[in-house]
Amino acid sequence: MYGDLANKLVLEAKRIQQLNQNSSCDQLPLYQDGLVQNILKEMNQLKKNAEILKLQQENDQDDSKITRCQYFVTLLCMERNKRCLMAYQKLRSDTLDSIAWDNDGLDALSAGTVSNQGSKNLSHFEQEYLKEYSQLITDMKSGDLADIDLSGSLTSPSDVFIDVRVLKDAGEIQTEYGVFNLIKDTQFFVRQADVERLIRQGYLQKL
Amino acid sequence: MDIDIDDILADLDRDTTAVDHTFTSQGNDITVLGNDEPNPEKAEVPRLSPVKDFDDLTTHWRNERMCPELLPYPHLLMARMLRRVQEQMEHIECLSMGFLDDESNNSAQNIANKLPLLCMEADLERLKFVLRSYIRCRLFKIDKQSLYLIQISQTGDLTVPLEELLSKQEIEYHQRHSAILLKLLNSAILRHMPPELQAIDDNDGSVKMVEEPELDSFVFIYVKGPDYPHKQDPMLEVNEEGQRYYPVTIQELKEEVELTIGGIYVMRYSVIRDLLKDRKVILI
Amino acid sequence: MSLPPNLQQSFSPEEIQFIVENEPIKIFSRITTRPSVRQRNSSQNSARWKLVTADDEPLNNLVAMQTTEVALWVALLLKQQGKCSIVAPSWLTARQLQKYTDYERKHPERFSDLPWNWLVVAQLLFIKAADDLHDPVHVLRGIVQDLREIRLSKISQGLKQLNESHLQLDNLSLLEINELRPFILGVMNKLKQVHSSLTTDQDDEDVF
Repeated sequence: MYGDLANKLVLEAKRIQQLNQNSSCDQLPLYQDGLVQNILKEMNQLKKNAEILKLQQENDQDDSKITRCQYFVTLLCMERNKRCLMAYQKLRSDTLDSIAWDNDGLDALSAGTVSNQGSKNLSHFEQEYLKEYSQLITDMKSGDLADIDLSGSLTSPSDVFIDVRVLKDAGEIQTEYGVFNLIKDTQFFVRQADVERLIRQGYLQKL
Repeated sequence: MDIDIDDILADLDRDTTAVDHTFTSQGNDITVLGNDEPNPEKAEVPRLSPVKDFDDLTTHWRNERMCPELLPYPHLLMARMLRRVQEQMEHIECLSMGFLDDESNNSAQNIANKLPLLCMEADLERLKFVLRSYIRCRLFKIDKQSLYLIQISQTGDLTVPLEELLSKQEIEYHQRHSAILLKLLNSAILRHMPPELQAIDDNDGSVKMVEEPELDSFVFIYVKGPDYPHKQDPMLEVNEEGQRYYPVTIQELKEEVELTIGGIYVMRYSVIRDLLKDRKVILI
Repeated sequence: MSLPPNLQQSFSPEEIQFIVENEPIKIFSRITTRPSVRQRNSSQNSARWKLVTADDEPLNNLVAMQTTEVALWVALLLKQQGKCSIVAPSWLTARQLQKYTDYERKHPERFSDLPWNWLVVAQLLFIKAADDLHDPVHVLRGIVQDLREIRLSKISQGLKQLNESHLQLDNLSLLEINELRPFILGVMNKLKQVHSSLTTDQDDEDVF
């Protein structure tokens, strides 16, 4: 039935939403290229149907209600398909936005945070979009707003200095308070802002 | 920045009773002096101070977070704030460099001296957090209403010009982001559609594609009252119990409600929109 | 999205704490920062307090054994470093809290006029300044828990009155409001929709 494919796409979108609700970092499953292409094909079929129905309507002397209704439903199907396609792509681009912010606007594809597996999940156009949006974030972070670290933590600071334990060797880090050599199982009293990224990446644990 | 740290410290030290507030708002801050408030009553505008500015910023942040529409960008306040962050970062850097030099001298003294530094770091982090969260929230709302913003700026339906509503960076963000998003949607979907369905901002279908802010949605408000309590506020009325209140009308229900000063209400945004603009209520 | 979904509709509990931490509280200083005359004239400067979010004047004039008022977050920092004790707010005693509890029990339709930040302040001081409180912290904790539960049950009673017009919620604290927000807004926005679709239907009928 017309619209069934689009329904599948919407269910897939719902799945992405649930996936990201239950996890701390956003991820995207494989782009459903086949499904999208099939829906686009269906659109063209619907378009042809609509044209035929329109012709029939014009030729039909007695202005049959059935043809008019058929025509109208065909248009609604097309509109519905478009809406589902757009919603799917928009949800994915919103997720890409979140990924880009989480990566501080670094190129998420080459930085390796979106793993090889992850980047295979993106369509060609999505890869391009992610790259451009990351660049936009990088540009926003420089200039007048450079000092406030726009992609920094959105959790309000309560303790500026915290105790952390090192979970994985992370080498030396340089801070205003000197150099710390982060060796597994050691503890440090550090400024939270200096180590936020390392905590997020799982190198350090806040005590 | 052409501030000499010695001057600042000398200034701070000159007289302990006059420590602080003035120097950031004197001299170097002069270009952004001024008030983003509507109709500031000159004689009554309190002296600008970092604390007052931070209070205002916090209110802007809280309002923006809870408001269904994008509120005007407080250009002057934000310029002062960003400058203050920069100055304070430089100030802290100077101080901590002083400590490194001192290291050998007297370590006990050093630790005692670190306390203010610790506190100033915490203080600066707090300011940076509010600024960051505020701007990120605005970018989110700009994205959400991206098509709507384009639409109203094209049709001239803006109540506030775009350059006032948004900051320079926000305008650039909006333009660039909507361009790359449109490119993605076009390449992936729209250009494969029948021509009559290729538009991104089609509002004629059964569902509108341009998302508008829902001005009728409910918000939590605290009725603060006028900025200058001793000043007469013509909009205020007094009820039988002697409480001062703002009368408002919920159009759809043809219902009158008294918003008592000090009260907390859940109310439709559209009903209190003007009171918010006049800073007589805040969103909480 | 540039703002995570959990921050789009509401504040996080941490943010509510942040807002409350900007409020003033009294402390009893253990250090002196007010410079002596000699220091004032000497060129050797010790580091001075200069803040951008809170009033720094009291911090530059601390005198040991004297009380002064500073922002709550500053007080907690000084406390952590052992440089002050915090003067507990007058409502944060077992006796006073018990009075509030009694009031809450006696007036099923009202909320007692606890300060708008009572819950956050109580929780923060329990964790970070337990030794400055007038009563043992487990006793205070118990009463605060009672108060919270009584108020919560009143709130759920009151939810029956949700409507499409408006709601008045005086004396609820910011944290309580924030917890209720998603539910109240969800229900009221829905009720409004139902109501306006009802009236549009009626209007339509009037036309025909």
